[in-house]
Amino acid sequence: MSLDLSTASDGSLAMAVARWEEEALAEIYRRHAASILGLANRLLRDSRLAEDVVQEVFVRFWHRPERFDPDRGSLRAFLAAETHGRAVDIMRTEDSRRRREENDAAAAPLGATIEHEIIEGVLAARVRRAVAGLPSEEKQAVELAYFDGLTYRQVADVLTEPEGTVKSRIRRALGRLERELMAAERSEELT
Amino acid sequence: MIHSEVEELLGAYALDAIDDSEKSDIEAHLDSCGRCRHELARHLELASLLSASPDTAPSALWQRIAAALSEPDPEYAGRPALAPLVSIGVPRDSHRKVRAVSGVLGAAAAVAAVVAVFLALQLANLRHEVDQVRAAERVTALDQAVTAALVSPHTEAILTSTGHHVEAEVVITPGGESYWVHSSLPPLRRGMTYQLWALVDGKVVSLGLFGRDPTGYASFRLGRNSSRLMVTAEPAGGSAAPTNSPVVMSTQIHL
Repeated sequence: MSLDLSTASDGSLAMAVARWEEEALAEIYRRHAASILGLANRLLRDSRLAEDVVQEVFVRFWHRPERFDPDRGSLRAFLAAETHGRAVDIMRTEDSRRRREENDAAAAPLGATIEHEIIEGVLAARVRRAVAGLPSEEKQAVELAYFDGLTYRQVADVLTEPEGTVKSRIRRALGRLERELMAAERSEELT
Repeated sequence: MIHSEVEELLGAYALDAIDDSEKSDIEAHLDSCGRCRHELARHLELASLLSASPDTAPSALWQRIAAALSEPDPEYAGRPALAPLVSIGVPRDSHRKVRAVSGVLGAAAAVAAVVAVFLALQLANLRHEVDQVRAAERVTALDQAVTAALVSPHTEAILTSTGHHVEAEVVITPGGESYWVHSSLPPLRRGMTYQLWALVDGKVVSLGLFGRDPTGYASFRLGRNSSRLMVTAEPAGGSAAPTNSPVVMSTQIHL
């Protein structure tokens, strides 16, 4: 049975990858690679290392598609989590840290925040608005954890806040963002 | 770790901002708490949107990835190959049908990507239902294969634990096509998988992985010199050789 790739659900594409269908993996790449490459770039601040991570994530998914469990979330969320985990591993190596510091000195925009990283596009714009609307202490905690690759304990150290406060802020921020995005979706449906 | 403690950490867990020392406690709780799993899935979805980008990923990178697909699994370099058993009913072809994907990933694809992401939150439930229907179709195909095997000449192997508290049943056709048809193996904790092994000419050979909860049918191929089957609990991803005592083992098989 052939699969219409452009309309297939992510879950169907993942199952096609389990049958070694390379076109299905290519479609997954088309849908999600830009986002996870952006994430890897944000974490590693080194485009070559970021591309290596994306390659590793896709090749690993090709060989081990059963690691994706649709009951635990979407394929997009799975790939983002894989990318984040691998990029953070690399960040902790000395060599990578040195290169990122060099790149930081050369090119990092001062005061870059989450919303600066999210470029135009319907969804990206919505996410950007929702993130911008977060209370600043929640936004800061999410940024440090997700885009700087810190644990919540390290975030607490950086912010000199109690650990409990930081983990609550992160959880609250994610809940708030979800509600904002759903509300934005509903209001556009009504207009 | 109690429910409320895990609940407070779910946001940090979704952002991959948890110390390794806490991860296993959280994952153990997730195994038994649907409410936390549901909240985590939503947080993970949201986290993945934080890097949303309408850009098109570079086609040169895809070319690199495509070229790497025909290489052996790097995680298993130098180790015996595992034939994946997909117990959710998605048997992989015995040989790869790798076809070249060429061409530039164009603007239409970028639009499709944005649309796909856009719909992710709203369509998650619908998608899950579609996946379940498709999975059910494949399980049906496997059902038919098992039925066909059962009504034709075949050998049955029963795998039992030392106390006979747990058992599993395998149906083996004369050609070696084999089907895992029943088991009472208990679910394993997160991070572990059941792995099926055959004793072939005195050596233990991996036949594949069953995942944590091997309910339902699965298919695999058994070589002619196989004399015994056994299942061990291994770290997720499987092992090159058994690292734990067998949970169940068959009597001798005569093919």
